[in-house]
Amino acid sequence: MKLLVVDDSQVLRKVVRAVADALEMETEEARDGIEALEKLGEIYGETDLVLLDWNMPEMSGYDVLVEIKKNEKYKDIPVMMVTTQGQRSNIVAAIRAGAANYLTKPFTVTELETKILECLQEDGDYL
Amino acid sequence: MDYSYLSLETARMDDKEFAVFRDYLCKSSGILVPPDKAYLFEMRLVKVMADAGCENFGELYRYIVSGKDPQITQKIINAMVINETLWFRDSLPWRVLEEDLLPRYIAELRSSARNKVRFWFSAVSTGQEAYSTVMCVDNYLKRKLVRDIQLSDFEFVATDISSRVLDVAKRGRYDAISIRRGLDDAYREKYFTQDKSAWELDPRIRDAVRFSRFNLQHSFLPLGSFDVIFCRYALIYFGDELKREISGKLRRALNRDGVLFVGNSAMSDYFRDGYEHVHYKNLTYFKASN
Repeated sequence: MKLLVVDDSQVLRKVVRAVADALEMETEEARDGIEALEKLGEIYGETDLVLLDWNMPEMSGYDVLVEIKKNEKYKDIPVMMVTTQGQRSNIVAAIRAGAANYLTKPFTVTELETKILECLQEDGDYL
Repeated sequence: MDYSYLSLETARMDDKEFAVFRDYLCKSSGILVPPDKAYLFEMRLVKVMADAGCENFGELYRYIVSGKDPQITQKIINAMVINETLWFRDSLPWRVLEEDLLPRYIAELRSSARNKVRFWFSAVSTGQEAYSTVMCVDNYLKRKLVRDIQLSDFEFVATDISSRVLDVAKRGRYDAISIRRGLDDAYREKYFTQDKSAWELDPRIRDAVRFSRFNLQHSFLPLGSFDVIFCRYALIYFGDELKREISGKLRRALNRDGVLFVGNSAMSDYFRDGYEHVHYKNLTYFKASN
């Protein structure tokens, strides 16, 4: 099981890696949307979930989500968006664009872990 | 699934819908969402609403009452109830266990005055409270060189209303952040094995706990009776009437001399009838009075 975490914050990537380790998942990291799409081009066949921050420089998480969902090769990989609390518009936009789930900041480790499990279970790969 | 019908306007919950969902959550789980937390429904239920193919919260409610999806209530509870917990949270219950309860239980087991000691963790979330207790008992038996009483003489039942947190609890595998929250190094070294940055609980401790989903609004009778009950951090989410009802049911679920940890002294008023109040340092816990 592999998770690609896309976030410009090193701290957040570290938190996600720690939780993924607990879930016995491998983690790949990308610091921005462009790197995420490049990386996905290499590892899409082995990626089970993308965790994507909304607010990133250069290319927003939303734009990355749209790109992922447009691409035949990786449009079926579940994407969980991470957005700021109170940004209801982001949540609606993310679901419309095909996000499998979303997480609002600030979140607890338990929320992160349960949401990842939820995404993977819905996708049918992980029980 | 095509979610293009969703719009920002329709994904808004008005006051009337909030009242309907607040009542629905309260009836199905006992949990009362205060009016200033109305946004929680909007933020957490948009996905449930979208998955149900509903355009707005009114439609979602009609979908719920239609009975089309038997899992819908659990999905909503899972989305709304995610409690963070830690190891040996507010450490005093485990001091009481070591200093008072375990010596007594061991003596009673030895004299055959009892054949089992039963614990219940009634809102266990991701498992830390139950596993802390199993480690505490196991460590006590080893430290005191108790060889004639085994961990299997103790039974640990752990429940929660959210199936999602129980999925995490049953794994007995914790991330590098959760493992540090309240767990001292000696326990970690003794009972966990590191795998990458994660920590895996000794299967002997993990398998000692029986997890199941349980709604505190239901009858406690199927669970049997207990010597120690932990019901901490759940009651604060309930209304007055339910708190009183649960207090009575907990009392009936306690064995003779059974002990109840509620974790919040502000709850003391709900635990008058049938309970003796015991003070240990700044902890107040309750004992079944005969």
